[in-house]
Amino acid sequence: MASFAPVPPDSTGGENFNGSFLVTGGTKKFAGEIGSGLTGAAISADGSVVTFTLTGTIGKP
Amino acid sequence: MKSVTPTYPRPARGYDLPTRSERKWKALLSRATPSVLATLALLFSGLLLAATPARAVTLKSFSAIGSGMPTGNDCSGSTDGQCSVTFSGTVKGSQIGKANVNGTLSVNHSDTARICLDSPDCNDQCFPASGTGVITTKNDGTITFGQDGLICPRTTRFDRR
Repeated sequence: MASFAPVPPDSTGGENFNGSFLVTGGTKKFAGEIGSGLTGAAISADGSVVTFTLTGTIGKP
Repeated sequence: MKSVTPTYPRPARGYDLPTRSERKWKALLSRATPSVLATLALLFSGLLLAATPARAVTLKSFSAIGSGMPTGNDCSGSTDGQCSVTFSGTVKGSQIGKANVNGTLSVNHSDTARICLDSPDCNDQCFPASGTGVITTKNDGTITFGQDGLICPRTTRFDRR
């Protein structure tokens, strides 16, 4: 079976990143903040344009 | 018929002293009492703790959306199965207003890590990617986050070598 190495994403043609995010820290007003979004992280790249989205919840324990 | 009156041995001096068995039980109880009390105290404090309501966490909905551009390599030419991409831009969102965002994604594009969407051909594939980012607000501080997911082609396929 022929083995081939996938060429890494190079933002040409467009790629989407979809995943989760977790707030790991913060300063000032957001010091001690916790938060997450299970499917709330999205980055889309097409050439030199990147769009970025985070959707979830944050709060202080 | 001759009646027989039972005779009992005269109790020795100090007859009201506890017997050996009684002394044994008393010693046992005196040894056990502190530990029983300690156990009860522990159980009681555990019940008190369990009855204390946990402090509530008030979560607010959070969103940030924006755009920017890649700030470094875009994985072109990477041959060792690992590469990183970085980006920078501005976002607007709830809780944060207008803010700057910087982020990085490490992409594992090795042959073993890829996920084939059309197995066994594997013309369409996604790669695991994870990274970190920082949202810097104007006055309210920063939010640091980690992200983990998949990077997939949008419309066209990733090329093959």
